[in-house]
Amino acid sequence: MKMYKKLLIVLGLLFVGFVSRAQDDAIGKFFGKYVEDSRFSVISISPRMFRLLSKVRWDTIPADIRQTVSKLQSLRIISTETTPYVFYKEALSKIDMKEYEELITVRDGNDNIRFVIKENGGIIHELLMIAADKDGFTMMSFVGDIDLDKLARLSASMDIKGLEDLKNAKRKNK
Amino acid sequence: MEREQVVQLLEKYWQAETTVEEEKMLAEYFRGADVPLEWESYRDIFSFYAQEAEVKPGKELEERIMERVRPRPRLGAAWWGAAAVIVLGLGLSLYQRDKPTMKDTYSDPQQALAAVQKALLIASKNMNKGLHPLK
Repeated sequence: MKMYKKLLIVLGLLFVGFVSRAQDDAIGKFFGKYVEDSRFSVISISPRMFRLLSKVRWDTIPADIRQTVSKLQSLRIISTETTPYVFYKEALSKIDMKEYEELITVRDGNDNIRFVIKENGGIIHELLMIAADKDGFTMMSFVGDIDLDKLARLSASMDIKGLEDLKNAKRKNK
Repeated sequence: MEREQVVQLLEKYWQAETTVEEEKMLAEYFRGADVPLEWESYRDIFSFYAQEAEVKPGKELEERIMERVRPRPRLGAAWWGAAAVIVLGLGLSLYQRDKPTMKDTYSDPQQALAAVQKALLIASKNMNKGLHPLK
């Protein structure tokens, strides 16, 4: 009987581990911790809602955005104006770099931006942006089939050279 | 027993109104030697009952019963516990997956689209910021 009890404890621990793994990705951990925190504002758009998006009026939406959105599955944003740099650091510490690949890092006096991606067979499944400046901290997770060139081009009206540079950056990264 | 009495008792007997004693009397009578020929069939019936009453359960009956009620190896409490933990774990993981992290903020797709669009532009702008630190 003693052995059974030990077995029970081991099994129990295994399953506690299994359950907590379900949210083990960086954004999941971070969201899970702060989603109910009143200091944070949260936006979640689920795959279900993304499917519903096909029913709205698209006439006013630029084609680039239309194409990008149609390949997304979910979006989560969490942001706060409280101690942005503290949360920036915490968010970074929660990213498992075995899962994510670093894409872009910006660090200057004011801005701290980090883009990481989850890639599988040349397709980017998740783009995670963590950004902080003195006004606030934002973490965004785009899940879907993400085309970085296209994404960079979305604001090309503001900066036409972004596309070429992104291509260079990607090459450097590989 | 008088013939008359036997006839009465038999009548009662077939009405299922005889008492245990009366049935015993009947059985005894038909076991006796002076049963008229016309009642020969009754003799068979009552001797059959007597025979059947003699039947005792064989020894193997007890064995068969004991075989049926013998305690079998059962799942121990620990195994039930483990099963419960598994079910609980699966339930919890399903529950957690749908929990707060993926509760839709918008119920109106138009608003959701506006939010996605804004998010994409912010991400795009930040991306370009990273590629153009001096701008």
